Amino acid sequence: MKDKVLKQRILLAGLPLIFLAAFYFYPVLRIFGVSFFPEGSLSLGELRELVSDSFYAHILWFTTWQAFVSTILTLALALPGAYVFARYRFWGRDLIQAFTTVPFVLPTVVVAAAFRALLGPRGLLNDWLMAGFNLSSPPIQLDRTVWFFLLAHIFYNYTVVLRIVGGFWSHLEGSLTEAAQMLGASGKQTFLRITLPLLWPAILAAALLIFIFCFSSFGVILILGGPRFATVEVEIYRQAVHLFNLPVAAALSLIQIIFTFSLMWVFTWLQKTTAVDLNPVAQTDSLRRAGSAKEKIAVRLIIGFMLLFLGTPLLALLARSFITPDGLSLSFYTELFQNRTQSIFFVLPHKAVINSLIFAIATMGMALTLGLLAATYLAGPKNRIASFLDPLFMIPLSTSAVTLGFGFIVALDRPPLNLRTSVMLVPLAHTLVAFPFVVRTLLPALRGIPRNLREAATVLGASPWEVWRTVDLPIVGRALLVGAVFAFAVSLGEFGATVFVARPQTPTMPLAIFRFLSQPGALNYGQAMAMSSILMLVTVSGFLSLEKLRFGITSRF
Amino acid sequence: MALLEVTNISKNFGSITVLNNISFSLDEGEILCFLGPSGCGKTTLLRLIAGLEIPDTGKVVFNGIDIAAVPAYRRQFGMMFQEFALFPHKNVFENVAFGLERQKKSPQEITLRTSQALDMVGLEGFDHRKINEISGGERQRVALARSLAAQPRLLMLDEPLGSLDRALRAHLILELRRILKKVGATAIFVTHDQSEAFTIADSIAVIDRGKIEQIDEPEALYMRPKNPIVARFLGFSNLFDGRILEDGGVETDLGVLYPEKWEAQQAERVNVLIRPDAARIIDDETFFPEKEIIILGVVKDRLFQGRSYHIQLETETGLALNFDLPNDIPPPLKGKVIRLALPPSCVVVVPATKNKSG
Repeated sequence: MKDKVLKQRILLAGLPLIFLAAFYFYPVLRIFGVSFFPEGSLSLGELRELVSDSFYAHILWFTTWQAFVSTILTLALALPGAYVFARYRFWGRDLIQAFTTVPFVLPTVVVAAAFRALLGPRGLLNDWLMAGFNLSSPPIQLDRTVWFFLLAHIFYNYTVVLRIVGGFWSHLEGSLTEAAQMLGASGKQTFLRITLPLLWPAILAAALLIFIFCFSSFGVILILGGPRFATVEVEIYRQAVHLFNLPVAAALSLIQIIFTFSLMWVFTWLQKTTAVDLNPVAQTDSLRRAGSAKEKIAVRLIIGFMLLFLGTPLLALLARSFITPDGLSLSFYTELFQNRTQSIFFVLPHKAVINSLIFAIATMGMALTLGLLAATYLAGPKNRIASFLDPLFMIPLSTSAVTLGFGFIVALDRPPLNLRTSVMLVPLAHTLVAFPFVVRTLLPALRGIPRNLREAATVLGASPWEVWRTVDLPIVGRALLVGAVFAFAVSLGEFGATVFVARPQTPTMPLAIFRFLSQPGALNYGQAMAMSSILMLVTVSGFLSLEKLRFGITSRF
Repeated sequence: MALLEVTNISKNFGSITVLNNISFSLDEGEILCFLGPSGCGKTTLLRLIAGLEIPDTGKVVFNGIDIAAVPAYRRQFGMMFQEFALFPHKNVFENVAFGLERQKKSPQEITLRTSQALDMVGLEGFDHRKINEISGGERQRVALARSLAAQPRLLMLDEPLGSLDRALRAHLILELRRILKKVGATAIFVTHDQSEAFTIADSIAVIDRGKIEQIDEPEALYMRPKNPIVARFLGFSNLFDGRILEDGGVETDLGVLYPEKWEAQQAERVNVLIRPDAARIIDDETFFPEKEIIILGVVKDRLFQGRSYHIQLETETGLALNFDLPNDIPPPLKGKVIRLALPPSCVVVVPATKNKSG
């Protein structure tokens, strides 16, 4: 009887394992193959060239430098915000908190488009300054500078600090600092001796996470940085797509894999040793209102900056999509559905919307099926196989999207898995990205079901299948919905892998935006703004409904 | 023949023996209680009978049939869990109806019997309440209604009052016994609380370290604990060595005692137990009531416990004894020497613990 149960359980893990083997491990192995055996025999020439050539050393150095600067700047700008959220009660707090997550969930191309809309040469701010001061050229020259995408990185990761550090900080306020003060510590001493040492792991975790994100940042740098700046990710793309130099691209991917893996390993280790909750539930009991006038001004300034910094790019994007050369109109939107002979597209722009939706639904279906199987297996009895598979299922997370996409084109274009012409490549790549998130969403919900609920159902006469249907499934229903929204949104916004695997005839929305943005002309620019606005609204409404679902879960159980 | 017969059940978790050669039987309509400290194996024993665990050795025979091969969901037993295990995504009605639905009853019958079960536990009109909207005591009633609605052939209750506060427990335990007796349920009740056990059970099995130490009716258990382990678990702390004399007395550090009656002991060396109740202070030092036992000692400590005073006494021979004195007399002062008189029925002779010389 026990053997039969064991066999059934291994079947659960089987399908996700086959999926990962075919679409993750096999492509990664091919990348190794192409970098070590470019012509079919062992040749370390490309690798040696990479290591010795100062150009590539410079790329690696620049990648690290920009990630480091982005991290420091994000921390500097976001820590005051984290403190305000950890400490104070103010009007619209929950709403503002929900809003601050919006940048983080936006697709990279949308962020890039939003910063172009605000600060680019045709941006709102330049428009106003030129009109106001009668200037002939735009005064803000951020486009194609490093500061442009650094700004986008800060915008993106602001909420990481807010969530992790702020959530953690809120637990330190109240009784702990009060205890220190009762023992005679001044406000400054309390901060230096109690709060900061306890907060340090959370700051470190947030910093490392931001560093990892920025290290493998792709779309923002490609679009906002222009051709002058190359990070490892951008260079992989250039070598593979523009120069078709696969061995060099493979060797760069290898370097990227090694770096992101080491970083993720450090991060996991840090998380284990310091036990920082990455999604802490903020404690709101100890919140208080700003008392003195000084406090009030400080809180208002910080919140004001936060709203301005996170809000204006998004508003500028929306505004830009309506401001046409003929005044305010919907023409950029309607233009998406017009067939222009001079269009650089093989297909109509609105086809990209339809493609994206179809891919997103396919991704959702696959990621949920695989995620549910894997999570059900992992939530079962703990054994050696389960504790081995748990990190294995998470492994695609520690590989950059560009590497995944590149792996697809070097591995899946020949037998045994020749999918070069298949439209399935895009949803498969998206599933690879979404699958670990779905597992991570479902697993706590499945593990959170008390064992005695299943036993109560069993004793009342429910067979194992009936137990799953009447207890497990309805209880994880909400988590399943969260996973579904997540997979859908990830697929809609995915850019790094899609840019490699999408067929020219079947572009997705981010690809269409990317193409619009890289073409000159007011119409292309306007259409990029319009499509970005649509993508932004869809993603944001998806994630805000998800936020609500999450609240629902915590209040119910 | 008994309804449930458990023979020679043993269970190990890894190298830890949780249950060691357990045997007992249970008649139809009887309420049996497993009483023991936490970790003694009583819950595991219950789960083995329910089919939620598989025994390493031994047999569970129900109604004359060995049920080893019957999975838990086909045994038609009921179980009330410690934390109630009510389904949070179902309302009160749906929770109670769950077992009946599994039995594929008609909707009319499900509605009827669910309502009956809810009426019986005093929850009329609670049908559509959500589980997180009702109180702890109400949840306990829902859990009871749910396990009774499907008319289980055997009902098991695993510390069903454990998570409730004390006042509520005292009230609900009486209610529980009334309902179980009303429906004539055959039940096994697991608890570590002896007052619960004494209230609800027809018979009690004291379990310690995976073994049944004694299985008896409540009165017999209280009056004649079979060994020091049972005695200590029932809260008797006045336990000391004794030697049986030929004249029927027992020689102890308190002198020769003449217990009222005891079961014949094989060994000469025994343990003597003095129950802490029924002692009273005698002021008159010249008064020697016939047959009563007189104990002289210094009051080491005195604790007011509401209904009684708890007195720690040290005798001349250095024995530490505990007594509960009624609170209607002026309590003796700490450090004072007092004389206590006890009826011979307070003295129980218990076999000495093995491997310990008398």
